[in-house]
Amino acid sequence: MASVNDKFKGIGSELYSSTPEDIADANKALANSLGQIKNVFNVTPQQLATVGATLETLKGLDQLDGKVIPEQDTIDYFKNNFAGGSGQNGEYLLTDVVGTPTGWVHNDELAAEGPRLAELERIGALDNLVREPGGFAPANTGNGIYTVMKYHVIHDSYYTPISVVDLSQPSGFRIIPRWTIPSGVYGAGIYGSRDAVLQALIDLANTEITQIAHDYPLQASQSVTSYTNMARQLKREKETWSKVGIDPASTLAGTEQPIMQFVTNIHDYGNDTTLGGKAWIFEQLAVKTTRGGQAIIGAMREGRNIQRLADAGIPTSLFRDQRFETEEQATLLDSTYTVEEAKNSIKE
Amino acid sequence: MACAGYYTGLMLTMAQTALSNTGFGESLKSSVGDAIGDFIDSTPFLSGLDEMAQSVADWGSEVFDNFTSMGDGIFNGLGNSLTAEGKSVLDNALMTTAINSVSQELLGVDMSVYLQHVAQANSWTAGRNAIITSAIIDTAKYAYESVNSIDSQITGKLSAVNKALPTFSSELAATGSIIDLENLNQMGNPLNLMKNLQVQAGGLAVLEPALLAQGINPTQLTNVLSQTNDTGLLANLSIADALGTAGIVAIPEDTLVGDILSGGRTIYEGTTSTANKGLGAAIYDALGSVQGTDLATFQSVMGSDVQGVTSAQDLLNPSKLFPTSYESLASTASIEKVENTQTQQAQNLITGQAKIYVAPNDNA
Repeated sequence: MASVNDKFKGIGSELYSSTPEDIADANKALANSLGQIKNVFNVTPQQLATVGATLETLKGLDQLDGKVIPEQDTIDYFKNNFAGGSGQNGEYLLTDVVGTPTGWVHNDELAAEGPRLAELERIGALDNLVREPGGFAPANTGNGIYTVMKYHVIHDSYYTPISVVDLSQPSGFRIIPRWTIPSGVYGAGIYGSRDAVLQALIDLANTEITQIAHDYPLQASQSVTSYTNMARQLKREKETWSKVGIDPASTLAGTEQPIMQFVTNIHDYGNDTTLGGKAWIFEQLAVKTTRGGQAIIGAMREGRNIQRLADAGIPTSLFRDQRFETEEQATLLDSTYTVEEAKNSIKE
Repeated sequence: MACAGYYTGLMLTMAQTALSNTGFGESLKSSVGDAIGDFIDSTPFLSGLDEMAQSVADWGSEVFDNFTSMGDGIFNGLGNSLTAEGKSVLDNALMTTAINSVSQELLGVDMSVYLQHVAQANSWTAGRNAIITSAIIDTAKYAYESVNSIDSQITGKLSAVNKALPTFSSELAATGSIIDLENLNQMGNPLNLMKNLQVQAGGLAVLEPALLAQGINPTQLTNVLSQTNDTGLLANLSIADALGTAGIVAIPEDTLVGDILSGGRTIYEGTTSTANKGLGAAIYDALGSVQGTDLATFQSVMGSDVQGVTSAQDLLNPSKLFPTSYESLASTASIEKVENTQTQQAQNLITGQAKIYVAPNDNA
């Protein structure tokens, strides 16, 4: 004979003074079990029995039956592969996909980085890199590395080709390309290619940048963080486009429908006040000095107010009357009989 | 016919500007473009780098990648360099050029392009977020649900009570009003069955002989039951404490002993020690004597048709109430409190299911 499972021993102790212990325990276990059913307190056993007889289980589906679903690997899949947005829990913000034109991330980082660099330049910390004594002076030993680089890249100022005798040439000589940076100038030396000069200057620039970073570690670290953030934003957007189906090269331009939809949806857009959401995006992009741009922001505010008023039970009459077709009526074929016509239409 | 439509004055105004201008007209403009302009203007060397990058790219330099990487990871701003991470998906360029490029791709040549991209993004993010949040948010909230198998979840937890739903349901239907789902915490309490009977029958007439045989005054019991919902408390009180002396009647073998309780109340004391007996136990014993036609009457009153029971006591025994399906009755093996961080409320976390009844040596 079956007995009450040891796992339930003692749970019905409140009733031990009234009934045998195994009956008390079994009742408590059954009550706990029935208590899992939502709203069970408001249904009758008959209602429960009626629906219970009709319910289907997952019998025969061995991959599911008896399992806790979703299993952890399912949750992990979405956590690790889907939750790549910048919002909480990896949720995607709209700006994760289309945020760059609005300045999402970039505007803040650039606004911080600009003054940071300007200040270093102002105190002379960047002199070895950017100093430019003035005038057109490629050989000036006071030129900073970037200045030398500019003379090379923009003006090709250090190009000093030489002619050598070469009887195989019709002219009897040939030109050997050569670049010479004068002594005392950053990168001083003779180079065989334009790229070689540039690479030498790049190497010098990197050395100097490393020195500046050593001298100004806080600014350097902040700068790296800013650029990392901006790069990640760009990367996130680009990587997301293919998932979204955004292919800028094939998006049809010059169409009216998206604009019409934008106008009709503007109240909903205004009510999306989530982080990086539609209200924020179009506030950023709207031209704030024109009537049209201001109307975009105004219409979004209007949308939010309509919602607030509606929530308070106060209707608005902002929407103008409209009709989808003209009120003028067409003349259709005659479809009614006169008496004479009716009389003649009756066959004896 | 005209009717209140979609458009307000502000909407018509924005529509006019958007539709009457080419490109982005006077409605929208890149915000990041201005920020980049301000940044480049903040120090002259940045515009110089920009100009050089264009030239280096034009001559097809093989060290262009090195040029756009100056200071990367050390002090990016000094080279305006795009990080290696950015270069993994973007064209080789300075950072500000890359930003401008992405911005222009999204904005397109006119407003309709960006609006299409926003609409696409909006739809996608909503769908993505729905699945992300469904999967990973508030796991504590669903811990309660998810420790149960999917089977029990799709059956509204009925299969967690008994997987053999057809038989269980049939036997549940046969219990009529015996199981009081409204007071599940008192399931198995004889007093609760009494109260339930009282509700169904308007009194305890069918049990009167059995109650009297236990020395319990049915009328007083009816009165007390009518005035309380806490049958749990009553069950654990002595008859004297629960019903008072008015609730005690003489039984044949009792002897009147006079005023043995304070207040001059009269009480009988006999071999069954009626006064001190627990009310729940007394009722349970009374139910044991409800058999035969009395039991049939009892079941009739309760609307039940439980088969194979020999006394009304059996109606408090789950294995008798569910004569076939009791073997597959299951319950929560243990419960612990967990804090739900989402609702800031403690919830019961069920840690496992087990069969209520097991055969010898069956640990399932």
